[in-house]
Amino acid sequence: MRLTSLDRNRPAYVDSVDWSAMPDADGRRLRELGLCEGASIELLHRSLFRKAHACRIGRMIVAMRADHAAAIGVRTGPAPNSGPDTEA
Amino acid sequence: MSALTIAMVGNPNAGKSALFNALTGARQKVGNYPGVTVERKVGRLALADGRAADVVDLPGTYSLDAKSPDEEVTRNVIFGYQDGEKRPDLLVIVVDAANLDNHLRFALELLALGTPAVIALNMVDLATRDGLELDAARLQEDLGVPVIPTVAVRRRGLDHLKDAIETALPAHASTKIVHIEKALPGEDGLRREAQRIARRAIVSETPSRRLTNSLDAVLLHPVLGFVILLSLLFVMFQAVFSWSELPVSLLEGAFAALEGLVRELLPDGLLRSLIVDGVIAGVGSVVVFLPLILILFFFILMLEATGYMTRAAFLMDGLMAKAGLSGRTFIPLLSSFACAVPGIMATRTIADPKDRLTTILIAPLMTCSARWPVYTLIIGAFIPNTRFAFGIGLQGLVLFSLVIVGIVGALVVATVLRLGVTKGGKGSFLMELPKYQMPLLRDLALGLWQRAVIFLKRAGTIIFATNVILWLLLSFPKPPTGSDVRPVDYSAAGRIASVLEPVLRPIGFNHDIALALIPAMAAREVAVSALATANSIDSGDDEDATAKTLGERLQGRWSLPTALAFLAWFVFAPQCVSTIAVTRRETNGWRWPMFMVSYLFALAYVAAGITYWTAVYAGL
Repeated sequence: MRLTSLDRNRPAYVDSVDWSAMPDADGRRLRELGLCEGASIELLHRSLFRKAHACRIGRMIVAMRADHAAAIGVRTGPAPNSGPDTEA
Repeated sequence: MSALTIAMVGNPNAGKSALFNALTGARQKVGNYPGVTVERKVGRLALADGRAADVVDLPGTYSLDAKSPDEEVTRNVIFGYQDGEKRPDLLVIVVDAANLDNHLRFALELLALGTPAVIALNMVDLATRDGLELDAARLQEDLGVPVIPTVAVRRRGLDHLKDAIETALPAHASTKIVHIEKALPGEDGLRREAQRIARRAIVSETPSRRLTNSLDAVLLHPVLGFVILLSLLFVMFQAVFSWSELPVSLLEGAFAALEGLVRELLPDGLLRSLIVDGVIAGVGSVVVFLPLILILFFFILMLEATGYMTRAAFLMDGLMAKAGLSGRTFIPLLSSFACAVPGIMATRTIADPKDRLTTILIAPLMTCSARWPVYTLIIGAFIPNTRFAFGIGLQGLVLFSLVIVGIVGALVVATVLRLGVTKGGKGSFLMELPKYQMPLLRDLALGLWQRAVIFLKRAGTIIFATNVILWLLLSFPKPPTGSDVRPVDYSAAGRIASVLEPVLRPIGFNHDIALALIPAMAAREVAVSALATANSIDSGDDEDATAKTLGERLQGRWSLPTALAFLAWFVFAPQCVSTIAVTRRETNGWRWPMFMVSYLFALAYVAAGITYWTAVYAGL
């Protein structure tokens, strides 16, 4: 499911990101803002005409346009532990 | 010996400027939106061991991979690339305690550089509000550098931070300019390590973000949020008008009393004319608007401090996108309501160069505070003070319309520019929405005080100097005795205005306006002081005339279409040397400022002409 189709306030996690669908600089900035496979994500708000989306990535609220949100694949439910370095 | 240098660095909204102010006693602007600091600021920190260090406050960034001009400044200072500036001896890495994993990612990148560092774990109070309990000692153990919990705005933890800085700071400053040339850790490695360390540092976590969630549910609502934004702007402009009525009239009374006193004390002559006509009438006519400017800034500072600015940008993104811009450009544009100069500087946070250039070119169309004296004078004199339901006044409504015309004009111009001279690039919108914060009374008071000082300095320097020169040009040469010609018309300034008048007559402008527009090239509000000086000289010792306010005198001399055309002119006219100078600096040359001045004058002329002839044909 794409982030744009996710119900508001429904906990989910990032399943995949199509980095090629956005400029490199935006992709890097999104990674710096915590977007990565496995990160918890929640769609919070859509602006008028669904142009901009505000979502919680980890503990941060990030605003992005619909074309970026559409490049993010999500799965509902709690986020799995991300990465091999995660401690129990 | 070279001074020790400490750099304050971290993500946007980590509270660097608040901490910088608390450490150095500086009065750097503090705000709750990304891009408050767009250039390096320097202060001085005195340490207990007698040493002193220069503290540099750097623009916030998410990584050392700079994407916008403000982020480049941070990167260049940290790497030692900044011209003539050596690399910092110590980094104070400011981390938002409530956003630990994200902010630690950048902190780890900075620590990998090997520069001595101290971590300020800032805003621990807000982390607690968000249900987070952190173990600073464990964080310190994992990061290998001192970690000091702080609440910069409440000055908590500062002594411990100063002690840690003192211990970590090298004995002597490095005297060489050394560039760091080091391979940085990979993105994935940094993120995982940041998450691992953050998880270990979090003792307990209970989801509790009720305040931000509840406010956002209303303020970011696709329809209600937009209505609230427009209502906020509307209330702001109504309040500026109605709240300032009493203090402005008190100041007008004070200046009238001062004028009367000088007339009594000094004999008729050039000195009295200079003081009464040039200084009191001229400069005083602008200074009386101080309460109005302070009310405007009170609202803007509130919007900046609470975190609402970024929400406004989110709501406006759809509209900005239609003009080929990003919602992010709305923040510099909203800042330009105060003054276009900081607004244009704030465009440094915009990564896309074409997006940034377009924003710079349209920033002067926002209704800056210098326009308020002009608008208020003309609206007060020519628009009836009719009141409608809910205390809404016609004068405030006209003022709001002028502001809206400026915004709509800016969007139309941006659309045209993006199709032509600034074509290319695709405005995108990626922005962190910070937590809401209650503004501190101290920061608000400080912000207002700084604006009052700037306003009065302008009145005492640029407006004073322009008015004295104008007074000279208006006072000489004197008409021969017995001549019917008005002294103002006979003067040098009057003759210059006569040359300009034929060009301006088709758009309804008279000799008064032609005379006021030339000195008003320095700053828009000079138009008011110039009109006041010219009218004061013209009135001479006529007691009936001098008893009238400037607005009352203009009522008798201007038609309503002329007054409306004058208002329309000032919506567009680029009459501010500071704006032109900062545009030259930010675009590295004269090409774009010249383009900006030309297109804005053309628009001003057309808008004033359309307004005048429409009003004439409507029989106003």
